[in-house]
Amino acid sequence: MLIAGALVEYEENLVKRVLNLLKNKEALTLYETEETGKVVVVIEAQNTNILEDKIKEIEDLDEVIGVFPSYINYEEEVFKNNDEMSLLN
Amino acid sequence: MKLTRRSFLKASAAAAVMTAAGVNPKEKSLLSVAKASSEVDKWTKAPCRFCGTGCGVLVGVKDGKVVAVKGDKKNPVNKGFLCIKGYSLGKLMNATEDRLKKPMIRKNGKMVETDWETALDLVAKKYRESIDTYGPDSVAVFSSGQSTVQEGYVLSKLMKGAIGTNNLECNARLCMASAVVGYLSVYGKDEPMGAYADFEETDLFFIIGANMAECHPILYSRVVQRKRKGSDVKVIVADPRETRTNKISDLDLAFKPGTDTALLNAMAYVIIEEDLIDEDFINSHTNLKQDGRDITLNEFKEFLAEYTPQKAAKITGLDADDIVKAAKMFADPKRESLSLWTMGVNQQIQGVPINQAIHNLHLLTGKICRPGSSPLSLTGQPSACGTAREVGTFTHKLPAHRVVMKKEHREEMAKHWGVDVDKIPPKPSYHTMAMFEAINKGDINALWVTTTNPAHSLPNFNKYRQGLEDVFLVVSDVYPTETTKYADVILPSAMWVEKEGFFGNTERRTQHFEKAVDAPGEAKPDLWQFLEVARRLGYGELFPYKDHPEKEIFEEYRKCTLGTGKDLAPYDAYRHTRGLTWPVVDGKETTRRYVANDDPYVKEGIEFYGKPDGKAVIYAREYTGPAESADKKYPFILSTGRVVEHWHTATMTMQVPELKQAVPEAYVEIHKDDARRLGIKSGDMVKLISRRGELKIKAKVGGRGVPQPKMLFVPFFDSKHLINLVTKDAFDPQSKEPEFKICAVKVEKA
Amino acid sequence: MINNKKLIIGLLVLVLGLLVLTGCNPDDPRVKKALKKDFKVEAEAIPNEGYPPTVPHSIEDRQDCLACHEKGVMGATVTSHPERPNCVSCHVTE
Repeated sequence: MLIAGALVEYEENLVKRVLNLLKNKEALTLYETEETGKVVVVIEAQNTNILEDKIKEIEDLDEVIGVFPSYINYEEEVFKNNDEMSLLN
Repeated sequence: MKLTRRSFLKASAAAAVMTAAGVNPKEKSLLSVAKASSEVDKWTKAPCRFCGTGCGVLVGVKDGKVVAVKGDKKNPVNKGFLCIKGYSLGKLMNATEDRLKKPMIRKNGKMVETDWETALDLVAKKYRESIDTYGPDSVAVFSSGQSTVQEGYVLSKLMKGAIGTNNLECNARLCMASAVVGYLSVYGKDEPMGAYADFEETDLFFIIGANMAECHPILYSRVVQRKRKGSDVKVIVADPRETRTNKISDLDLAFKPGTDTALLNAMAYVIIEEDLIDEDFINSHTNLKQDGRDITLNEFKEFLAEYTPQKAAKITGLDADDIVKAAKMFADPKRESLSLWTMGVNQQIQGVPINQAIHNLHLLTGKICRPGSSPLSLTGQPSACGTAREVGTFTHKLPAHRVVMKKEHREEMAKHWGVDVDKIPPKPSYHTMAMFEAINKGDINALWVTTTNPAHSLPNFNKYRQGLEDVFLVVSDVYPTETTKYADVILPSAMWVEKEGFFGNTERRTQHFEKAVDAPGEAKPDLWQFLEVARRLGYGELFPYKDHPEKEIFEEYRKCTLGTGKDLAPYDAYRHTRGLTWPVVDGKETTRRYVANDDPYVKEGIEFYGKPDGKAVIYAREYTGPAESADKKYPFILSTGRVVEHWHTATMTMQVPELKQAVPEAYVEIHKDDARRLGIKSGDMVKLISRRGELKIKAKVGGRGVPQPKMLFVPFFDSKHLINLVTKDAFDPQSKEPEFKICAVKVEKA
Repeated sequence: MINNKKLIIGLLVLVLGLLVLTGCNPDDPRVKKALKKDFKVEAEAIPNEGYPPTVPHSIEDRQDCLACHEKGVMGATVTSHPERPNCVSCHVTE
């Protein structure tokens, strides 16, 4: 399980609409910030493919300007045997 | 509210993103969650495993593994930042597949796994046999500027105090020796007198022979930030090759390789000619010498007549105007000047004269021993200062900057160790290159190599291969290397925070690191290995450490530093601080040496107390040129060095996929004019041929480094492209440091 | 573990790179917005843990990192620490 944090920037006057759209998404936790136009999402995903899909989902929203990832916890992988990952190499 | 680990992680993720983006969360409790949450069991502090900058690292451990690494915000060296190698430390500590995990001995030409008892018994047996049959000088140890302080001290005591030989050398001979002799000859004592604090106080950075952007990245960041924040801060970059470091320079001096002395002497000429000297300082604090005899300032001026900017321009290939400009920038009486240099200067047969010429600039202008002005030699390895130079793992040295040649030093150490003073040989035996020659000749039967890789890093290695094959070779290391290929015994060793130790960095900061995790398999700390062999050799009484050897040994070593000017603090002081800069007297560390109100050994003003009369020496040294110049047959000058991604022979950094992928192999940098003339494009295979060996390697035109025309550069990290088969093993006659930076080659399309 | 992390970063940056293809039009209101943003970040805001993302594009002819990464031109990842010099001492190429 991967846990990734990203900053989502969206059009400032569409706060309510964007937050509603994002709130309803699976495996996504929102952390609102003091600045309008910025919200932090934390995505939980089984693997990188799913992570990529989820990010694309958010970016596809018209109201979203950009998604800026900046944190990944890979600690859970240190203790796991990751055969599936080696296949992708 | 009970938070699960999962929610801790999520909250941490969110908090980290917010911090990075500079926004505050609406939910205030998030801030405290982030602070309190810990996806690690504990954080421990350590100096970085890599270069001589000595950045502070925090190591996060969970369930016995390193799971996170971050910069230590509380460490004044780096204030929380790391370079890519520092960030890679976490990955490195978990790349266990290729790690050496079991002792091995050679049986019928093949390496076979064995147990520690067998391996150590064999090492002790071979050493004992050789000592008893051929004498103490028939065995040797080659250690490292990456060995811990305790490891160095035990080796010194074992070789010099117990076995009774000076056959202890280390790889710092190949990197810092010229700087050491520079400091010793000029000030009477080794190591810089300045500190990193000078970066933030200076107005002029004079960077010569140092690609700081790649080799001391965090210090380079401090240069850049000083330039941005200060008013009118200038940077001079003096290097035959253009590197990333040149990006911030105000003046580039791309002199011909090997002509540094001419450039520096010319700068001295201008400084005197333009009356930018501090005559009071020269009279009060310096003597001048030429060829062993004292001279006057006027005689020094006459000597420099051979180095007018015009004459030096001819030698160096520079513009005379640029030389004058550089001198004036450096010597501006209203501004502070900081000189920084590394291997470009040290790894030449003129290494010592060039070092002295740099010190001359500071002594002529009095720009020394004050905030922002200092000649600061940058150290390559994490503990070349702390271990190699201070503990003294060299043929001629004894702990705390003592030397075997001085009777009172031998007496002091003999008393300290509790051995007969006659045990310590009064004459140095072999410096590094001489040691490997002796091994070739068969004068040395047993050699123990630890934490270094001479089969990869010795210059002109073809010459020394047979010797390594024939000698009984013990190698302590963490990964297979070029050197383990020749080993008769391989001892798997603990790496970095898999053991406890001390490192000492460039600015005299001694830093402690504790053991955070266990070494994999049966790997053991080098210290344990040395003690085990010492006891098997019958010297158990001299190494009685039981409860906490690392602490006991450090305290023992500390005692012999007191009163020498390189006083260390008690062990516990280092546990609770981000290191301390010596001399530490009465609990107070020293930022700048040789100056009152900072250095406790100085009552008033400035005093270079390493010299009997307290005065530093300005040496008149001629430009004599490199050992091997370009000629018709070998028209290119070859230089070697590093890239930011790889550490030395890359035995560790190649284990990190990102670093391996970033720079997977070495290449030869060639100037575009030369490339065009030879019909070579980037990516073409070429052959580099010298009088000693040849190497097939890919050419690279343009990129992060651009050598001047008729010059080539090859990074030496790649075991599949051993550039040291081509380099020359000529060395500076005073420091014995080899000239890695200059040899003559020809280029052919392969 | 190691490969995993690299992949994620690589893919994420790839995804952002998609913006380059789709949002290439400077008249796109999203791009306009991105360019107008003024990212004021404190020096301490740099995450000092976690592996610095690797650079998925060649830097041979792209020496000035901040030209794109300060404001996020064409969807480039925006740096949280534009005041930090010597980008390539932490962010190595792939």
